[in-house]
This record gives sequence, C-alpha cells and structure tokens, in this order.
Amino acid sequence: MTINPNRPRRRVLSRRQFTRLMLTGAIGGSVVLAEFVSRPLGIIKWISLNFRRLGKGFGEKSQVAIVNATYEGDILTPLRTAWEAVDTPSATGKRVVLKPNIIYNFPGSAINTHPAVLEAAIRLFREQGAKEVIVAEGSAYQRDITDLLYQSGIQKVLDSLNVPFVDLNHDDLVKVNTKGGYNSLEFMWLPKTIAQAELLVSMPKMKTHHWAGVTLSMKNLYGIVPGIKYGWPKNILHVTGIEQNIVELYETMPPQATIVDGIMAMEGDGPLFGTPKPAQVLVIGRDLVAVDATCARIMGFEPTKDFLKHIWYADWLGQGVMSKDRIIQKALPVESVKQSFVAAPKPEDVARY
Amino acid sequence: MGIYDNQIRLGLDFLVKIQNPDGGWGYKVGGQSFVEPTALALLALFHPNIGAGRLNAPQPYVDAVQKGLTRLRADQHPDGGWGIFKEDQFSGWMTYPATWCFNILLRIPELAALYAKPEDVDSRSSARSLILNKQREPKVTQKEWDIYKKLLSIDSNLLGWKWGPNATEAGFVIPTALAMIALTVEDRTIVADSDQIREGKAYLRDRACAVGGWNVGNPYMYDKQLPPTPDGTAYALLAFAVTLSTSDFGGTQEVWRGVSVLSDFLEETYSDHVLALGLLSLRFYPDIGTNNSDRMGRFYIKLLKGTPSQTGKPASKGQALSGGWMTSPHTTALAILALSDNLYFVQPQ
Repeated sequence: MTINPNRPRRRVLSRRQFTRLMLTGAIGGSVVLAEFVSRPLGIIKWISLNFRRLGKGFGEKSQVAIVNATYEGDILTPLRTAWEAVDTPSATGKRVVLKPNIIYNFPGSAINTHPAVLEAAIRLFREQGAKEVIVAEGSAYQRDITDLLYQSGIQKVLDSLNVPFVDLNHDDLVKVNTKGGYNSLEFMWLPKTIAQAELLVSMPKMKTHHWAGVTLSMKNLYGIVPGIKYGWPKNILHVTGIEQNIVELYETMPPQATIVDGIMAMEGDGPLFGTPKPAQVLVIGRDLVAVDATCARIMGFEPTKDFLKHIWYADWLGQGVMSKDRIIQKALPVESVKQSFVAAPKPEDVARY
Repeated sequence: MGIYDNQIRLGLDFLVKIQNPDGGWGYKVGGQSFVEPTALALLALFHPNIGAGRLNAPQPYVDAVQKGLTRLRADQHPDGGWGIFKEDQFSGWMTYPATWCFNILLRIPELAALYAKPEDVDSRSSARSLILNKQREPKVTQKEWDIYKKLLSIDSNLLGWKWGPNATEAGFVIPTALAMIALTVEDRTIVADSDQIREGKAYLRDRACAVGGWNVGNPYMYDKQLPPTPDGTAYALLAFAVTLSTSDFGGTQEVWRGVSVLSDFLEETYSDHVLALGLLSLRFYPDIGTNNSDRMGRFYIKLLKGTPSQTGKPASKGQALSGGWMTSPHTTALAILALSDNLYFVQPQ
C-alpha cells in the first residue's frame, strides 16, 4: 500500500479533542439553559441569588411569635409579650411608621386592620421610647381616605392618641432604585414618609386573597405604592405580576417588623368579600417571609411553588425563610392555634382590571 | 357679586401665599409641586371676577399665575404630556388637568391676552394628540372581551383613558373623566359630540355601579358588586356635566342615579375634600334625585364651617382662617371652583 501525498487527509478527532469539544458544548449549553431558567433575572443575578440562598442555610433561624388576643380584652399585654419574645428591632428614639391595611368599609366584615390592634401598637412603641409614631396608608380604592378612617374606627384612635396620619397616595415622593430587578422597573417613586421611616412596621389583616392566595405582611406593601403615580387601584402592580411586585417591594423597601391582626381574620372570597373567621391571634416577627408562612399555616395552608407563590418566591430569593425547621416558634406553637380556612376562589386572571 | 366672593378671595390669597418657590403647588402646604394641584390652583386663580383673569387684577395674583404657568410649561415633555412632576419622565394622567388648564387659558380672550404665549397653542395641540392617541387603553381581543364580560360584567370594547403610560393598562373612571373634561373645554360645541367623547360617555355609563355612582372603575369584582365611592362618582358626574349634549337624550339614567349617590355621600362625609369635589359636581345637577336645594345649602355650610365628628374633634374643618382647606392647595382649589358662581372653568367664553 502506498500513500498518495496528494490525497486529502481525513481529519480525525483525537479522544482529547473530542472531550474538549463536548465539554465546551456542555458549558455553552448550560449557560444558555441557565439564561433561560433565570429569566427575567439574568444569569449573574441568578448566581448571586443562589449564593445568598446557600448562605441562608447556614444563617440564623427566624423567630416568629404567636399570641392569643381578643378585641374586647387587653391587646397591649400579649402584643408586648410577643414583641419581646422575638428578636424585634428596638423602637427607642426612632421615627416609627405603622402601615395598617385599610381598604373599604363593609360593616360586619373583617376587612381592615382593627383599630384596637393599631392602638395597642401605638402604645407599645411609645412605651418603648419611639421618637415619633405615625400611621400611614395608601388605599387602593379611594383617593380620599378620610371617611374610611372614620368608618373603620381608625380616626377615633388617631384622635384619642394624637397620632398623625399620612395619606401615602398623596405624599411627597422619592425616587428609589429597585434592588431586586424582579418587576422590570429600574426604580419606583415611593412615599417620603416610608423612605424616611426608621422603623417601618407592616400591620396587615390576616385574609385570603383570590389572586395571591393570602394577603399578609408582604402583600400589605402594595399600600405604600402611591396612587398619584401608579393610579387607583394600583393595577399596574397586577398587570406586571403580583408575585414579582410583592417581592420587589419587600426587597426595595423592607419593613423591619410586622404585626399581623389575625384576631378576626377573613376566609373564603377575600380580600373584600370573605367571611369573618375568628383565629384570635397576633403574629409578630421581623422576617416577613417567616411570619407570612406561619400565618398561612395557622390558616391551614402550606406555601408552595404553585400556591402562595409569593411566599415561596421570597423564600427562594433568600429574603427570609418559610421552612418550618428554619423558624423558631415563640409563645404559642402553630398547632395550638391552627385553623382550617376556606381558600379564596381562584378565578381566571383579569389583572388588566 | 357672587355669594361666596369673600371666601373665594380668601382662598385665592391662601393659594398665592403657599405657592412653592418653583411656581407649583403640592398636595400639602410646603410639599413637592405636582402637576395636578398646580393646574387646579391655576384654574382657581384664573377667576375672571375675583382672581387674575381680568385687567388690573391684584399683582400677587398676576405673579402667581405667571409663575405657575412657567412651571407647567417647563414640566411638559417633548411628547406633549406631563408626568406627575418635573422629575417624572413618563407622561401620564396629569396630562389631563394640565391640558384642561391650558385650554381654559387659550379659550378665554382676557386670560389669553394676559398670560398666554404663542407656543402654548402648539403645546396644547401636542397634549391633545397624546391624550387621543397614546393615553387611551388598548383594544382587547374577543377572547379577553368574553372573559371580562363574564367575570366583571363590563364591556371592555369601550375604551377609557389610562392613569399611566404602560401600553397594557386599562382605562379607569377618574382618568377617563378628566381626559373628557380636558378635551371638551377646548370647544364644547365640536368636541362634546366627537366619537371619542361619545365613547367616553358610553364607557362611564357601562362602568356605573349597580346601586348607582362610580368607583375607580370596576362595578363588579367577579360576581360581587363593588360599591361606589365619592371621588369616582364626583369626577364622572363632572365629566357628564361638561360633555352632555343633545345626543345623550334618554341616556342619562346613570347620571341621575349618580347624583343621588353623591348627594348621599356628602350628607355623611367628614371630609372637606369630598365636600369640595362633590359640590363642584353636584352644583350642575340641582334638584335631581335626592339632591335638593336644602341639601346643597347644608353642604355649602359644611364646606365653609366644617363638621364636628363623633370623637368631638372637628372632622371636616371647613375654611380655615388662613383661607385654605385641609392645608391643601389641591382641596382649596377645588373648593374655590365649587364656590364660584362663574363657570369659566368648564364653560369658557
């Protein structure tokens, strides 16, 4: 056999070259796959999030306190007990802003944060030496909230304790760069009162919600979004994704603590038309994800990727923890106050409206 | 002389005194200047008998109007619209009150002669174009229409005006009403019967609550009725007052029911703002439904004198000694317009 030097040589990959090629392809494919998986965050953000999530596993557990209370009885004492039982921040010398949930006045319904709970919170923070206590809300359904404050009984508390109220829908605004990048907005205009709060406390009502599953301390942050910029009923937050906006608000403007009014909660067709459900609890903590997950369990729900997605999403993003074994329960255990709430019906998406 | 001239003068003095150094007004005294309260304060200051809308008007009024208009002109974006304030780069619903203000300025010869600039005509045209072409909500597909009809009982083929710039946003009652007013005051005889305004009126009728009146825009949340609110009802009625024409004959049931609802709200309210805005609307509907002259008289007294609340502290405080309401330029401007016997701000001549 002779070798013809003019015949083109057949190129054969060596094993090493083949391995390199496969490796390069695998890495490239993984990058493309990761980019798709990580959208809309982008791969760099996604990687940094995963580091944060891994780090969370070694971090401290979150503390959540549950106490029994009734509107007719003394609320301040159990509230103080719960506040002191967990690692809540000090209010001493601080400008404290309380953000209740005040939406509509439907007589006989458990729709708004109860004035008695708000009153106890005001007294607690004054007792702790707060420099100033302010109540602030930006209602989703009305431009002028004055009558709602009277009808809900909140105004009576504000008058009797001489506490200022700020309508967040018409407050001065500051431009705040979004920190998460989850809702595709580079920045948001947010109320100065919230931006300047030294201790922001979310004070939601424990309710079911037809789109979010539940509305608790994180969803309550929709009320800080100013109507003059984002309209009423702030639908742009629904159009661009409920979960994305909830976690974005929590990351960008996080309250330092929450007090959930679950004394008379709401089940069924929440957040407006549900049925009052006596749960007789206040739930307190500084990790809003842990508090909301605990409240969900009290209501008989377990947050998953498909149900109560914003809690799952916030946990996944490392904003807090939802897993039972990462939450230290103080005062009452969940099991002792656990209920079985009727879930809100989940109708077809009408986010546009 | 109007009945409330003295109160209006006090109110105007208050607006002049609290005007921000940048020429604008905020929602509260000393607060940031926003386009909406600035436009409404200017409308109040345009008053032809008492304010700056006449020759030899008091110099502080003249100066305040000139500074305010300079502010508004500076805040207008190249696309013809306004954001909520200068730093807001996206045009949105505050384009409507700003356009309303410029239309009145250009429509009343005395005002135009005193304060308008040649470029205001082009600015107004570009604002009108933005309102008509960019700020209306997008059309829906048949599938979406079916869903919205089934779940919300609304006709989503009727297009309203949006709050913001987002292309996917829906229209809502208050921005729709303000856009209709802004467009119509340019020339009521032509615009009130235009296709867009007729559709706007049909939109408002469709979005009326089952019990009468309006809220922000949804009469139903799935199978449940949502109640009306004072602000949505007042703005919708004001829009009808400005745009009703002979073509609306027989199509006014929602309007009459809305009047009763708003009148009942004003009977119960503790809010100076609701009183000011409500009276601004109700004055166009005397003796309709539950709204009668006795009630209107009481509402005016409440607006001026205030209402004690159940807690003993005054809830609505009425006009303060300073001349303003609720220490709010926004509410004060609305109150002045409500008290004015001259309807120059909706029927400019």
